[in-house]
Amino acid sequence: MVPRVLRVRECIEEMEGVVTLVLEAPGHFAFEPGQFNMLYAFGAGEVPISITGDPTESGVVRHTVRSVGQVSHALTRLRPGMELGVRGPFGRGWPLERAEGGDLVLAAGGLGLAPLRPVLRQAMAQRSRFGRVVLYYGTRSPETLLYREELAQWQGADIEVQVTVDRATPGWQGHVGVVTDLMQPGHFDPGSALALLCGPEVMMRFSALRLQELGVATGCIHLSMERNMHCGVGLCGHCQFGPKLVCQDGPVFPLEEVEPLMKIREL
Amino acid sequence: MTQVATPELAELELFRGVTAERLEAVAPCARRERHEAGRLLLRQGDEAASLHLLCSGSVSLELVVPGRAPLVLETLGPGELVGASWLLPPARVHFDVRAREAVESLRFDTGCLQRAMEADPGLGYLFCRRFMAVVVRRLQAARVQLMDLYGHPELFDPQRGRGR
Ligand SMILES: Cc1cc2nc3c(=O)[nH]c(=O)nc-3n(C[C@H](O)[C@H](O)[C@H](O)COP(=O)(O)OP(=O)(O)OC[C@H]3O[C@@H](n4cnc5c(N)ncnc54)[C@H](O)[C@@H]3O)c2cc1C
Repeated sequence: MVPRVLRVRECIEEMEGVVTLVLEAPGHFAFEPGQFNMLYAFGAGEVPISITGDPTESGVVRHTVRSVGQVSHALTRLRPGMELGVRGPFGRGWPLERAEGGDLVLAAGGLGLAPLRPVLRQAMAQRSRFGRVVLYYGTRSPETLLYREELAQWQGADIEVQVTVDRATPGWQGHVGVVTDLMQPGHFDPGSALALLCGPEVMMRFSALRLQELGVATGCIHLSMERNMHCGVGLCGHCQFGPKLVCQDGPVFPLEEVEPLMKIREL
Repeated sequence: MTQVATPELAELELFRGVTAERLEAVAPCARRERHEAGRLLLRQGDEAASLHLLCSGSVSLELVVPGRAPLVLETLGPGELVGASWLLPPARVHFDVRAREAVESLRFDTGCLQRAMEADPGLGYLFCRRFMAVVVRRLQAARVQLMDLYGHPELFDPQRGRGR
């Protein structure tokens, strides 16, 4: 698949080293929440990055990138008017249709909020499709909160937004502690809840355990496995995770499929 | 501050499965209290004479550093116990515990609790296990908090260091 060349319309600096790229995409860039694109920074290389915008928004496609290495650094250095290559959308997204009529529980850790943002936008636009909608979001410190203004908008749109930080700074009035501490009985109906998790694997493992403890069925927990990949289309085997390929079978997997694999020390 | 009846205790997770007779022994140690936002439930350095079981609202555990704004280490909500340091000498409160909003708690007189636990070692053992469960869960949470998971995601990349 040949990349489309898209132009950067806007770069939003979310925090140090993390930039949201708003790319001009003529027409409508259709994707399912949870899918990703392969972004190609010319001269540097190509990496998978989740699509983080509103699925109904026309004319643009959004990604939030953290600079961790060569390619992601090049992406965060792009400026309005510059171009990059985009292949996608790829992968299996969140099974949102399964939440219809029931409660929707989202747990995000750090940048893991990015692939859940399209879910929140959709839940906000079609609020009556779901019962209670709860977002548990854990991050490092108050300065590293993503999409600050939107957090308030979601809360205003009948979405229960619970935020915690690992480390407080003076003036922080919110929760301090791990994201699992936020998950308490009574926030949602465990019998009807669909839980979607995204963040570091350690965070997802503890969150899944806590949700199971609260009564959510294993079959109703899904997580996004952001293991690294190269081709994005199931050819190179780089993102192999046991018998699964993250790029094709994922990145979203039911917990049942990945739980045994997450326990293996060497994969 | 009101006294607590045995059936009220029986409904709490901390006392799940505890016999009525044992609850009778513990109930006189408990008082229901309300704390306005901003008030201290426990003060760093004080003798650990009280243990609070939070019923509603939330508190922050704050480390007091002279000349600086207090550092919030953790926030805790309903069902949590605060004041666990009473169990071991020198039984001093380690952190300020401040109400972040209106809080209702059950305050246990730790001297009274200790006498009940010593008079009935079975009860003592049961409570030690329950307190231990709280302490272990909080220790695990503190470890995860210290890992700084979100600050350096690359350190937790399962594929790192495998010849990529
Ligand atoms: C499906 C999917 C969705 C993703 N979505 C996003 C996103 O929305 N935003 C974003 O910033 N990143 C996302 N990532 C991660 C991103 O692809 C990697 O950070 C990027 O490939 C790193 O490439 P690099 O050349 O910049 O760094 P490299 O030089 O390849 O790596 C630099 C360091 O980062 C570590 N690293 C590389 N990939 C990952 C990873 N997947 N997880 C944790 N550590 C890693 C490496 O071990 C190394 O220590 C996603 C990954 C996948 C598989």
